[in-house]
Amino acid sequence: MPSSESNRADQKINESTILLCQISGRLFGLQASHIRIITEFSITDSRVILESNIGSIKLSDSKIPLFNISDFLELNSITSPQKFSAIIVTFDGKSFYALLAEKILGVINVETFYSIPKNGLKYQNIYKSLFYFQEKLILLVDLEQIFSKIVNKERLLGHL
Amino acid sequence: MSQFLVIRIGRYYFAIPSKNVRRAMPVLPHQPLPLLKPMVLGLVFYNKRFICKIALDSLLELGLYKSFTEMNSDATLIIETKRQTFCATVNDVENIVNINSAEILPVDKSPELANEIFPNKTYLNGYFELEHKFVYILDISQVYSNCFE
Repeated sequence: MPSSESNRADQKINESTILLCQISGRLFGLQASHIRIITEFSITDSRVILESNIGSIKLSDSKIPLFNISDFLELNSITSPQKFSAIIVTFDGKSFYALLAEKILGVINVETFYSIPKNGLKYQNIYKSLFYFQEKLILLVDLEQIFSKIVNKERLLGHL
Repeated sequence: MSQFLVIRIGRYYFAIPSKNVRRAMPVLPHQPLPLLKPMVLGLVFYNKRFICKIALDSLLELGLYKSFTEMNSDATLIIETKRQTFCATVNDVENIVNINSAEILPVDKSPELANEIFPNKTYLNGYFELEHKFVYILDISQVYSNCFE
């Protein structure tokens, strides 16, 4: 059985392993430990329903929500790719969600994270931290918080 | 006697209480982020951490374009209030002055009040005359509240 010290070390490694993806032309970081699989699909794929906030994607026998976070983040879509990626994530190992991304750039290890002054944000806790990748400042997003806020917004609009 | 740092934004001169100014430095570029509060332009790396840069000209309703202010500015002011640090870009940093409280007049007495564009009075704590210029005292606590709270 691993010691608590090695557990902490594993956790640290997991937390610093980041998937870089592109959404509406902007790069974002996602914690790799939440990601299960990544699948690519074309806009004509019948398994996929694309919506401005929450669509769906059919994987094997189950249909899971497909979150498009562009509108929520108030990003202007500058590209209309024919192919997208769905990043399948779980936060508890039981429920699965998909995130729509234009491009997957790969997995990187980040050594230094910077905290974000949260008083300047419209919503608290939607970003975990900031880090540099090739001299660009990248946001590490808290997908669980963002998904929850999108669901609440859709509920208020009567869409769910 | 109160001490102020005098700055210029557009055609107006403002005074910031010295106790609220940490540093004045060459313009620090900001990184915009999605979902920032309306008056927050982006983040600036200062003293090994990120702080918010606010659009002070927009907040004061000076009618200047943000790009104009950035391009023609020569200083970023690091400001502190309520134990929070943030920054703003200004066109000029003039000098530090000591002003007697008797010299500070209510904003409503300003001869410039009738100007087509006048700074939003919400953020002004009075004004004084300095070398034939009117200098408006900024209420930094109010600036912070309206940008961040």
